[in-house]
Amino acid sequence: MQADPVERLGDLFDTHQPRLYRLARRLSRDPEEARDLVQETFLRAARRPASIPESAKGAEAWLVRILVNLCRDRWRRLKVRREAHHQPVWSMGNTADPESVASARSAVQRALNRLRPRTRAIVVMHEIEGQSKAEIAEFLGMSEVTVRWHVATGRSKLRKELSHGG
Amino acid sequence: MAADRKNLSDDELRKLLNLGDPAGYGDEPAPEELNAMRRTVLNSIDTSPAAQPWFSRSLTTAMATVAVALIAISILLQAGPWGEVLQPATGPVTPAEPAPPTTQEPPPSQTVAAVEEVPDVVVTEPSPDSAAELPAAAEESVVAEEPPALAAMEESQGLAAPSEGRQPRTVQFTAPGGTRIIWTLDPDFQLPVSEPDSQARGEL
Repeated sequence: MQADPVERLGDLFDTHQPRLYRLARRLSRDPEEARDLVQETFLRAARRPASIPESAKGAEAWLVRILVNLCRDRWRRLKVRREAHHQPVWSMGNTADPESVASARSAVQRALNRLRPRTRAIVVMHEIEGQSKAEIAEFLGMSEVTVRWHVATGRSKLRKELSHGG
Repeated sequence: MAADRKNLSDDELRKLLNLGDPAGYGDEPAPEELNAMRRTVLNSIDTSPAAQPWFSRSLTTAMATVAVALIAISILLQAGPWGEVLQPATGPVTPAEPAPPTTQEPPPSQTVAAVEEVPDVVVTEPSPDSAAELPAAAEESVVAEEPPALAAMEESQGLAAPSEGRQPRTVQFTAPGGTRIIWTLDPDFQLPVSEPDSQARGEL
Protein backbone atom coordinates (compact mmCIF):
# COMPACT_ATOMS: atom_id res chain seq x y z
CA MET A 1 0.00 0.00 0.00
CA GLN A 2 1.18 3.48 -0.77
CA ALA A 3 2.36 5.49 2.15
CA ASP A 4 -0.03 8.33 1.50
CA PRO A 5 -3.68 7.30 1.57
CA VAL A 6 -4.70 10.60 0.00
CA GLU A 7 -2.54 9.93 -3.01
CA ARG A 8 -3.77 6.36 -3.28
CA LEU A 9 -7.41 7.31 -3.05
CA GLY A 10 -6.86 10.07 -5.56
CA ASP A 11 -5.43 7.57 -7.98
CA LEU A 12 -8.34 5.22 -7.38
CA PHE A 13 -10.79 8.03 -8.02
CA ASP A 14 -9.14 9.02 -11.27
CA THR A 15 -8.89 5.43 -12.45
CA HIS A 16 -12.27 4.02 -11.50
CA GLN A 17 -14.64 6.96 -11.37
CA PRO A 18 -15.71 6.78 -15.04
CA ARG A 19 -16.53 3.11 -14.88
CA LEU A 20 -18.27 3.45 -11.52
CA TYR A 21 -20.35 6.33 -12.81
CA ARG A 22 -21.50 4.34 -15.85
CA LEU A 23 -22.42 1.43 -13.61
CA ALA A 24 -24.16 3.72 -11.15
CA ARG A 25 -26.06 5.36 -13.97
CA ARG A 26 -27.29 1.95 -15.12
CA LEU A 27 -28.28 1.06 -11.60
CA SER A 28 -30.03 4.30 -10.75
CA ARG A 29 -32.98 6.27 -12.00
CA ASP A 30 -31.29 9.51 -12.94
CA PRO A 31 -27.87 11.15 -13.21
CA GLU A 32 -28.19 12.87 -9.86
CA GLU A 33 -28.69 9.59 -8.05
CA ALA A 34 -25.75 8.10 -9.96
CA ARG A 35 -23.46 10.93 -8.85
CA ASP A 36 -24.56 10.46 -5.26
CA LEU A 37 -23.83 6.76 -5.47
CA VAL A 38 -20.35 7.30 -6.85
CA GLN A 39 -19.50 9.93 -4.27
CA GLU A 40 -20.81 7.79 -1.44
CA THR A 41 -18.77 4.86 -2.72
CA PHE A 42 -15.56 6.85 -2.57
CA LEU A 43 -16.51 8.40 0.74
CA ARG A 44 -16.79 4.93 2.19
CA ALA A 45 -13.39 4.14 0.80
CA ALA A 46 -12.07 7.31 2.39
CA ARG A 47 -13.43 6.28 5.76
CA ARG A 48 -11.68 2.91 5.53
CA PRO A 49 -8.59 3.45 3.40
CA ALA A 50 -6.77 0.51 4.94
CA SER A 51 -9.52 -1.86 3.85
CA ILE A 52 -8.99 -1.23 0.15
CA PRO A 53 -7.24 -4.20 -1.46
CA GLU A 54 -3.75 -3.68 -2.73
CA SER A 55 -4.16 -4.91 -6.27
CA ALA A 56 -5.80 -2.76 -8.91
CA LYS A 57 -8.33 -5.42 -9.84
CA GLY A 58 -9.08 -6.14 -6.21
CA ALA A 59 -9.59 -2.46 -5.53
CA GLU A 60 -11.92 -2.13 -8.50
CA ALA A 61 -13.96 -5.14 -7.39
CA TRP A 62 -14.09 -3.75 -3.86
CA LEU A 63 -15.42 -0.42 -5.12
CA VAL A 64 -17.98 -2.13 -7.36
CA ARG A 65 -19.24 -4.22 -4.46
CA ILE A 66 -19.63 -1.10 -2.34
CA LEU A 67 -21.55 0.58 -5.14
CA VAL A 68 -23.89 -2.38 -5.60
CA ASN A 69 -24.44 -2.62 -1.85
CA LEU A 70 -25.24 1.07 -1.71
CA CYS A 71 -27.81 0.59 -4.46
CA ARG A 72 -29.33 -2.27 -2.55
CA ASP A 73 -29.43 -0.31 0.69
CA ARG A 74 -31.04 2.63 -1.04
CA TRP A 75 -33.56 0.38 -2.76
CA ARG A 76 -34.48 -1.25 0.54
CA ARG A 77 -34.69 2.04 2.36
CA LEU A 78 -36.90 3.75 -0.10
CA LYS A 79 -38.87 0.67 -1.07
CA VAL A 80 -39.15 2.16 -4.45
CA ARG A 81 -41.03 0.01 -6.82
CA ARG A 82 -42.27 1.95 -9.66
CA GLU A 83 -45.50 0.78 -11.06
CA ALA A 84 -45.09 -0.77 -14.43
CA HIS A 85 -46.55 1.08 -17.28
CA HIS A 86 -46.80 -1.49 -19.95
CA GLN A 87 -46.28 0.67 -22.91
CA PRO A 88 -45.21 -0.34 -26.36
CA VAL A 89 -41.51 0.11 -26.34
CA TRP A 90 -39.39 -0.78 -29.22
CA SER A 91 -39.16 -1.48 -32.85
CA MET A 92 -36.17 -3.37 -34.13
CA GLY A 93 -36.34 -1.70 -37.47
CA ASN A 94 -36.19 1.88 -36.21
CA THR A 95 -33.04 1.94 -34.13
CA ALA A 96 -31.77 5.02 -35.92
CA ASP A 97 -34.91 6.94 -35.32
CA PRO A 98 -34.32 9.37 -32.42
CA GLU A 99 -37.85 8.99 -31.27
CA SER A 100 -37.54 5.22 -31.19
CA VAL A 101 -34.24 5.46 -29.36
CA ALA A 102 -35.73 7.75 -26.74
CA SER A 103 -38.64 5.42 -26.37
CA ALA A 104 -36.33 2.43 -25.98
CA ARG A 105 -34.29 4.23 -23.36
CA SER A 106 -37.36 5.09 -21.41
CA ALA A 107 -38.61 1.52 -21.61
CA VAL A 108 -35.27 0.03 -20.64
CA GLN A 109 -35.00 2.41 -17.72
CA ARG A 110 -38.43 1.43 -16.51
CA ALA A 111 -37.74 -2.25 -16.96
CA LEU A 112 -34.42 -2.02 -15.11
CA ASN A 113 -36.13 -0.19 -12.29
CA ARG A 114 -38.32 -3.24 -11.81
CA LEU A 115 -35.37 -5.47 -11.01
CA ARG A 116 -33.94 -5.99 -7.61
CA PRO A 117 -30.61 -4.19 -7.16
CA ARG A 118 -28.33 -7.19 -7.25
CA THR A 119 -30.09 -8.76 -10.19
CA ARG A 120 -30.02 -5.43 -11.93
CA ALA A 121 -26.31 -5.02 -11.35
CA ILE A 122 -25.55 -8.49 -12.65
CA VAL A 123 -27.72 -8.08 -15.73
CA VAL A 124 -26.16 -4.71 -16.48
CA MET A 125 -22.63 -6.00 -16.04
CA HIS A 126 -23.33 -9.01 -18.22
CA GLU A 127 -25.65 -7.73 -20.93
CA ILE A 128 -24.47 -4.14 -21.30
CA GLU A 129 -20.91 -4.04 -20.02
CA GLY A 130 -20.12 -7.43 -21.51
CA GLN A 131 -18.50 -9.05 -18.48
CA SER A 132 -18.54 -12.81 -18.30
CA LYS A 133 -20.41 -14.59 -15.55
CA ALA A 134 -17.13 -15.76 -14.04
CA GLU A 135 -15.79 -12.21 -13.93
CA ILE A 136 -18.97 -10.96 -12.32
CA ALA A 137 -18.82 -13.73 -9.75
CA GLU A 138 -15.28 -12.73 -8.89
CA PHE A 139 -16.14 -9.06 -8.78
CA LEU A 140 -19.13 -9.42 -6.54
CA GLY A 141 -17.75 -12.23 -4.44
CA MET A 142 -20.41 -14.80 -5.20
CA SER A 143 -20.57 -18.12 -6.97
CA GLU A 144 -20.96 -18.39 -10.70
CA VAL A 145 -24.10 -20.42 -10.20
CA THR A 146 -25.65 -17.52 -8.33
CA VAL A 147 -24.64 -15.15 -11.09
CA ARG A 148 -26.26 -17.42 -13.69
CA TRP A 149 -29.43 -17.49 -11.63
CA HIS A 150 -29.52 -13.70 -11.42
CA VAL A 151 -28.90 -13.38 -15.17
CA ALA A 152 -31.68 -15.81 -15.98
CA THR A 153 -34.08 -14.17 -13.55
CA GLY A 154 -33.23 -10.70 -14.81
CA ARG A 155 -33.62 -11.69 -18.44
CA SER A 156 -36.97 -13.25 -17.73
CA LYS A 157 -38.28 -10.17 -15.97
CA LEU A 158 -36.86 -7.78 -18.54
CA ARG A 159 -38.32 -9.85 -21.35
CA LYS A 160 -41.66 -9.77 -19.65
CA GLU A 161 -41.50 -6.03 -19.08
CA LEU A 162 -40.22 -5.14 -22.51
CA SER A 163 -42.28 -7.58 -24.51
CA HIS A 164 -45.59 -6.94 -22.88
CA GLY A 165 -47.50 -4.95 -25.42
CA GLY A 166 -50.47 -2.90 -24.62
CA MET B 1 -43.89 1.20 -32.08
CA ALA B 2 -43.89 -2.50 -32.03
CA ALA B 3 -45.83 -3.60 -29.02
CA ASP B 4 -46.70 -6.98 -30.26
CA ARG B 5 -43.63 -8.90 -29.18
CA LYS B 6 -44.41 -11.69 -26.83
CA ASN B 7 -40.91 -13.09 -26.48
CA LEU B 8 -37.59 -11.40 -27.08
CA SER B 9 -34.63 -13.57 -27.84
CA ASP B 10 -31.46 -13.11 -25.86
CA ASP B 11 -29.85 -11.23 -28.72
CA GLU B 12 -32.83 -8.94 -29.14
CA LEU B 13 -32.92 -8.30 -25.45
CA ARG B 14 -29.23 -7.44 -25.45
CA LYS B 15 -29.67 -5.10 -28.40
CA LEU B 16 -32.56 -3.40 -26.71
CA LEU B 17 -30.66 -2.98 -23.48
CA ASN B 18 -27.70 -1.49 -25.28
CA LEU B 19 -29.93 0.76 -27.29
CA GLY B 20 -31.61 2.04 -24.17
CA ASP B 21 -28.45 2.04 -22.06
CA PRO B 22 -28.98 4.68 -19.37
CA ALA B 23 -25.29 5.47 -19.43
CA GLY B 24 -25.50 6.43 -23.06
CA TYR B 25 -27.43 9.60 -22.42
CA GLY B 26 -24.32 11.70 -22.33
CA ASP B 27 -25.06 13.03 -18.89
CA GLU B 28 -21.68 12.34 -17.33
CA PRO B 29 -20.60 14.77 -14.63
CA ALA B 30 -18.83 17.87 -15.80
CA PRO B 31 -15.10 18.22 -15.03
CA GLU B 32 -15.79 20.89 -12.42
CA GLU B 33 -18.30 18.60 -10.78
CA LEU B 34 -15.80 15.75 -10.77
CA ASN B 35 -13.12 17.94 -9.24
CA ALA B 36 -15.47 19.00 -6.48
CA MET B 37 -16.39 15.39 -5.82
CA ARG B 38 -12.72 14.42 -5.77
CA ARG B 39 -11.88 17.16 -3.27
CA THR B 40 -14.77 16.13 -1.04
CA VAL B 41 -13.62 12.52 -1.05
CA LEU B 42 -9.97 13.27 -0.40
CA ASN B 43 -10.79 15.72 2.38
CA SER B 44 -12.77 13.08 4.21
CA ILE B 45 -10.03 10.48 4.45
CA ASP B 46 -10.02 9.05 7.91
CA THR B 47 -6.56 8.60 9.37
CA SER B 48 -7.77 7.85 12.87
CA PRO B 49 -7.01 4.49 14.53
CA ALA B 50 -10.55 3.38 13.76
CA ALA B 51 -9.62 3.38 10.11
CA GLN B 52 -6.86 0.88 10.68
CA PRO B 53 -7.42 -2.74 9.69
CA TRP B 54 -9.52 -4.74 12.10
CA PHE B 55 -6.69 -7.13 12.95
CA SER B 56 -4.43 -4.28 13.94
CA ARG B 57 -7.05 -2.88 16.29
CA SER B 58 -7.81 -6.32 17.65
CA LEU B 59 -4.16 -7.05 18.34
CA THR B 60 -3.74 -3.84 20.26
CA THR B 61 -6.87 -4.49 22.27
CA ALA B 62 -5.85 -8.07 23.02
CA MET B 63 -2.40 -7.04 24.19
CA ALA B 64 -3.84 -4.39 26.46
CA THR B 65 -6.33 -6.87 27.91
CA VAL B 66 -3.63 -9.45 28.59
CA ALA B 67 -1.44 -6.85 30.28
CA VAL B 68 -4.27 -5.73 32.53
CA ALA B 69 -5.15 -9.32 33.37
CA LEU B 70 -1.56 -10.15 34.30
CA ILE B 71 -1.31 -7.13 36.54
CA ALA B 72 -4.59 -8.00 38.23
CA ILE B 73 -3.54 -11.62 38.79
CA SER B 74 -0.19 -10.59 40.27
CA ILE B 75 -1.90 -8.15 42.63
CA LEU B 76 -4.39 -10.77 43.72
CA LEU B 77 -1.69 -13.34 44.32
CA GLN B 78 0.22 -10.94 46.50
CA ALA B 79 -2.69 -9.52 48.44
CA GLY B 80 -5.01 -12.47 48.58
CA PRO B 81 -5.31 -14.87 51.50
CA TRP B 82 -4.02 -17.80 49.49
CA GLY B 83 -0.67 -16.08 49.18
CA GLU B 84 0.07 -16.82 52.80
CA VAL B 85 -1.16 -20.36 52.59
CA LEU B 86 1.14 -21.09 49.69
CA GLN B 87 4.09 -19.47 51.33
CA PRO B 88 5.14 -22.29 53.67
CA ALA B 89 5.07 -24.78 50.82
CA THR B 90 8.52 -23.65 49.80
CA GLY B 91 9.95 -24.34 53.20
CA PRO B 92 8.85 -27.56 54.85
CA VAL B 93 8.67 -29.71 51.75
CA THR B 94 12.16 -31.09 52.03
CA PRO B 95 13.34 -34.63 51.74
CA ALA B 96 12.92 -36.23 55.10
CA GLU B 97 16.29 -37.29 56.27
CA PRO B 98 16.71 -39.06 59.52
CA ALA B 99 17.53 -36.49 62.06
CA PRO B 100 20.86 -37.00 63.74
CA PRO B 101 20.56 -38.62 67.12
CA THR B 102 20.88 -36.29 69.95
CA THR B 103 21.39 -36.77 73.54
CA GLN B 104 19.40 -33.77 74.50
CA GLU B 105 16.11 -34.63 76.05
CA PRO B 106 13.41 -33.02 73.95
CA PRO B 107 10.56 -31.28 75.59
CA PRO B 108 7.28 -33.12 75.03
CA SER B 109 5.71 -30.23 73.22
CA GLN B 110 8.31 -30.26 70.48
CA THR B 111 8.78 -33.97 69.98
CA VAL B 112 8.76 -35.17 66.41
CA ALA B 113 9.52 -38.78 65.82
CA ALA B 114 11.31 -40.11 62.83
CA VAL B 115 10.08 -43.64 62.39
CA GLU B 116 11.53 -46.08 59.93
CA GLU B 117 8.25 -47.67 58.96
CA VAL B 118 5.87 -44.80 59.01
CA PRO B 119 2.26 -45.47 58.06
CA ASP B 120 0.59 -43.14 55.67
CA VAL B 121 -0.84 -41.05 58.44
CA VAL B 122 0.04 -41.23 62.09
CA VAL B 123 -1.64 -39.01 64.58
CA THR B 124 0.17 -38.72 67.84
CA GLU B 125 -2.17 -37.96 70.65
CA PRO B 126 -0.86 -35.56 73.19
CA SER B 127 -0.29 -37.43 76.32
CA PRO B 128 2.25 -37.08 79.04
CA ASP B 129 3.74 -40.44 78.30
CA SER B 130 3.65 -40.23 74.52
CA ALA B 131 7.38 -40.34 74.33
CA ALA B 132 7.37 -43.56 76.24
CA GLU B 133 5.05 -45.17 73.74
CA LEU B 134 7.36 -44.52 70.82
CA PRO B 135 9.41 -47.41 69.57
CA ALA B 136 12.88 -47.64 70.78
CA ALA B 137 14.33 -46.84 67.40
CA ALA B 138 12.24 -43.77 67.22
CA GLU B 139 13.34 -42.68 70.60
CA GLU B 140 16.91 -42.69 69.42
CA SER B 141 16.17 -40.39 66.58
CA VAL B 142 14.14 -37.88 68.33
CA VAL B 143 14.47 -34.46 66.92
CA ALA B 144 15.21 -31.99 69.55
CA GLU B 145 14.12 -28.94 67.69
CA GLU B 146 11.46 -28.14 65.26
CA PRO B 147 12.34 -28.23 61.60
CA PRO B 148 13.70 -24.86 60.60
CA ALA B 149 11.02 -24.43 58.02
CA LEU B 150 8.26 -25.00 60.51
CA ALA B 151 9.88 -22.64 62.90
CA ALA B 152 10.21 -20.07 60.19
CA MET B 153 6.59 -20.56 59.25
CA GLU B 154 5.44 -20.06 62.77
CA GLU B 155 7.68 -17.10 63.13
CA SER B 156 6.39 -15.53 59.98
CA GLN B 157 2.81 -16.09 60.99
CA GLY B 158 3.35 -14.72 64.41
CA LEU B 159 2.42 -17.92 66.17
CA ALA B 160 2.45 -17.93 69.90
CA ALA B 161 4.41 -20.55 71.71
CA PRO B 162 2.29 -23.43 72.89
CA SER B 163 1.19 -23.11 76.38
CA GLU B 164 2.32 -25.47 79.03
CA GLY B 165 -1.12 -26.90 79.72
CA ARG B 166 -2.12 -27.94 76.17
CA GLN B 167 0.27 -29.97 74.13
CA PRO B 168 0.37 -29.96 70.37
CA ARG B 169 -0.70 -32.84 68.22
CA THR B 170 1.63 -34.25 65.63
CA VAL B 171 0.56 -35.70 62.31
CA GLN B 172 3.07 -37.59 60.25
CA PHE B 173 2.60 -39.02 56.84
CA THR B 174 4.69 -39.98 53.87
CA ALA B 175 4.06 -38.58 50.46
CA PRO B 176 4.11 -40.96 47.48
CA GLY B 177 7.56 -39.77 46.53
CA GLY B 178 8.93 -40.75 49.90
CA THR B 179 8.90 -37.31 51.42
CA ARG B 180 8.01 -37.48 55.03
CA ILE B 181 5.74 -34.70 56.16
CA ILE B 182 5.25 -33.83 59.78
CA TRP B 183 2.60 -31.44 60.95
CA THR B 184 2.57 -30.06 64.43
CA LEU B 185 -0.89 -28.85 65.37
CA ASP B 186 -0.75 -26.12 67.91
CA PRO B 187 -3.94 -25.93 70.00
CA ASP B 188 -3.15 -22.39 71.04
CA PHE B 189 -2.64 -21.21 67.54
CA GLN B 190 -4.32 -17.90 66.79
CA LEU B 191 -4.23 -15.87 63.67
CA PRO B 192 -4.43 -12.12 63.58
CA VAL B 193 -7.99 -10.86 63.51
CA SER B 194 -7.56 -9.30 60.12
CA GLU B 195 -7.01 -12.65 58.44
CA PRO B 196 -10.21 -13.74 56.67
CA ASP B 197 -9.51 -17.48 56.85
CA SER B 198 -8.10 -17.55 60.31
CA GLN B 199 -10.62 -20.15 61.35
CA ALA B 200 -9.57 -22.52 58.65
CA ARG B 201 -5.88 -22.25 59.38
CA GLY B 202 -6.43 -22.28 63.07
CA GLU B 203 -7.67 -25.85 62.82
CA LEU B 204 -4.29 -26.86 61.54
